[in-house]
Amino acid sequence: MRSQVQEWPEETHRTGFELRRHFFRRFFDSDLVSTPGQWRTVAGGLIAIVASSSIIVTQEYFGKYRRLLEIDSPEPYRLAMIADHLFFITLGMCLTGLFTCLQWGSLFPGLRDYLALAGLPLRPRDIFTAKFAALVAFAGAFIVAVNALPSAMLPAVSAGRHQVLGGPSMLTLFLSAATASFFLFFALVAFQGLLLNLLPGNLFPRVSLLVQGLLVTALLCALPFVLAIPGTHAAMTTRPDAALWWPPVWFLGLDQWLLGNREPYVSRLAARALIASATAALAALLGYVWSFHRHRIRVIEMPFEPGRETAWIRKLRDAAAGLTAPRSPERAALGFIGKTLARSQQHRLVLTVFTAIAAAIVFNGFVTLMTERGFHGFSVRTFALRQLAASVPLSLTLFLLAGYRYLFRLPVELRANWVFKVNEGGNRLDFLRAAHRTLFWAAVAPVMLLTGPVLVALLGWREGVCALIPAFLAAMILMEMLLFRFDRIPFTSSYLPGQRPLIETVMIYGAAVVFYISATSAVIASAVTDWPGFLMLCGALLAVWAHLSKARIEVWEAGRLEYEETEEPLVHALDLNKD
Amino acid sequence: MLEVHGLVKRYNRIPAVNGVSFTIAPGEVLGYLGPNGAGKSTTVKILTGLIEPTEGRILFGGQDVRNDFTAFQRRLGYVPEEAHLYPHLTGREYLQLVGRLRELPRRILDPRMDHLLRLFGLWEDRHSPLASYSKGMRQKILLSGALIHNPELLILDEPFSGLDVNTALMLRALLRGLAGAGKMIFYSSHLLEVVEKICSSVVILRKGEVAANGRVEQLRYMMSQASLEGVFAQLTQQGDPETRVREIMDAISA
Repeated sequence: MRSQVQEWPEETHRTGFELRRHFFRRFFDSDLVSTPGQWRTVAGGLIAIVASSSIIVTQEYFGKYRRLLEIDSPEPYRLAMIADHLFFITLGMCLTGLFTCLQWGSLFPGLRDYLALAGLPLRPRDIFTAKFAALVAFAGAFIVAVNALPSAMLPAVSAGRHQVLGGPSMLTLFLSAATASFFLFFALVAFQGLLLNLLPGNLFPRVSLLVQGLLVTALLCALPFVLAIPGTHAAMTTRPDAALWWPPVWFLGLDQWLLGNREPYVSRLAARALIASATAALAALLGYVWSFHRHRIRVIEMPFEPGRETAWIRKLRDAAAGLTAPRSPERAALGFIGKTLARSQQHRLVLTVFTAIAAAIVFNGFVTLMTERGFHGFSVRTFALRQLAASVPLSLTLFLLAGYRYLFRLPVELRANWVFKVNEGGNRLDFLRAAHRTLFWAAVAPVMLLTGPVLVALLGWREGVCALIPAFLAAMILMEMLLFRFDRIPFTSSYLPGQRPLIETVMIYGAAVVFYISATSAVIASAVTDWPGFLMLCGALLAVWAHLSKARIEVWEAGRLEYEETEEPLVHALDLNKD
Repeated sequence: MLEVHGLVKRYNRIPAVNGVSFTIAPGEVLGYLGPNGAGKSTTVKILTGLIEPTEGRILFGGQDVRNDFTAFQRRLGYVPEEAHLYPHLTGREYLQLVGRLRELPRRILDPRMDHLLRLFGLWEDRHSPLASYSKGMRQKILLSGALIHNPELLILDEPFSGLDVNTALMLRALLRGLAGAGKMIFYSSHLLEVVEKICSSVVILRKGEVAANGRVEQLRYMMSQASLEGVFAQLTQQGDPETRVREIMDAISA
């Protein structure tokens, strides 16, 4: 019996099953990663973060509910419980939304699926059905993983005299949270199906990428507010009509209804949750059925063509390149980097995610400021307003520069890098300078140009410009630091994710947010009203930048270009014999 | 027998293939020739079911394949011109996928897969991802995948691309052997010498239309040419290569 079970996956099953199994496995692959199975390293790091943070969250919740259970009245306990249920339902939805957005390009079969499976005895319908089934299974696994832990944890840590620990409360929270997540997942699939059917074939890729970017930005911007939901427990007694249009609240209604609350308002919410879920699932299914023929023709017969440049844009670009990059090899590398960034959808998506994180931080900063008691409008220039204004260019440059630096590691058609390899002799510094110029012109310069007017509008001409100058210098320093040991032409080297433990990466970003955004913006906010302080700050930043820039060039002159990212050795030598 | 009648495929009303007809009898190797853009790949895509024809019929064993295209696909093996493969699968996993999708039971699939991997010299690399395979290795894995279910009809689009000399010689002999065993082989290529050696008949396309269809020796005789190369150049109206060479030399030295 045991051997039969072990042998079962190895056997050949029906075509549909084999196709579903194939598509399911392909969800774990990425074109950006050159080593198969490397996702396990990243997933391992992610699980470690979730596991370690869940211990902290569990302890926090345990303490919170012990304190609530000490109160004789059950009302505070009940309200906190409802708020936490809403929090976990919304968090599950948010994470599922992000997951779906990251899988946006894989929601429907792609060109590679059709070409690689060509000639095999498969109807297009089979490919579509199998892809949909694999997608639902993959999303299902994610949704279960995201919602199972909180659904088990919350009832367990909150059990006490006001509510005893029981399976039903775990089950109802899990069911409502999972249904909410599935609702959003199906809604997004249906939305893409709608775009696929309504948009002209040549327009779809551009609009689809834009929608994907907007969704990621919106979901990341929403995360800080989701995290604030447990603090809104006092509002859980209200029954606002507006909440009837807020999907997470529908599923909170479903959760409460399953727990036995038969209030008409709750029943209405529960009914909406069920209708919405069924409608989204049906719409996704119909979207698939409706689009399968059109999608296949679009994918196979209408390959994506990048937008054509008009003559004046080309002339302007060539003139700018001639001025900024006088040497031809540097211009060549610059053109390659720019065109790849403009045309590679995956790279643009990664950049969108980084930009969205920056936007979320800025957005959250403004909302926090505006909801503070000491806020008297933007015309009153407080220290908090100055700090927030200075943090805008800093937030954007931090995540844009880090995003580009990360993007540069992700390869595009790795085998094509021979064109740089054979032309490397004597041109190495030109190629690296192209990366430097890209970072400046694609991250630092546009951020300063875009945020300059915002700073002037918030702080006035003098203070706005005074805040912008040190922010610009700080960005230049960050750029030098990020490129200090940069040793490759962007997009031409293999990539091994998970080299650094994910927890370490998160901590580095956390430290960068604290020092680069919070601390630097506080220093800038103090300096803008103090001329000597401002001059000293600018002088210090300028000196650091000049020093780093010189050191970076020295490192670049001595180093060599890398085309293959190798795994870190398991044991690092101390290298005591070296200086 | 495979019979193609009046095949037409239009993209935005522009015909890529226009009224193409040919037949392949069991044991026959049909060479499908034409300059770039003549419509060879479009024909292959139609035959494999990647795209649907605007007009025309394809009969296999006297039956219209549209009645049950999946049944037709079960009986064909296909080697595409470009190696479209899932880069993260290993060579063995790819063959396993193809075999399973063709519903080959494990007791047949596993030994056959291993045999083919050894015979094509891929055994040592069977657990390496396809992304790391050379062009020739990819071609070999595609050939293995096309043969794994012992198809009646083979559709080969530039199957010699990237193969080393020994494997190319082996493949040439294999195609003859397969034809000898009664298989039908549709062989699309630019390699006129190979076509001349292994094909019993040829179809030459020009701008989506059939410029010639017949046995190689018959075409040579009709066109008064000593080789298929001469027939091809005459039918496809290629410019004088010497003139073109001079123009290129002028362009790069200007």
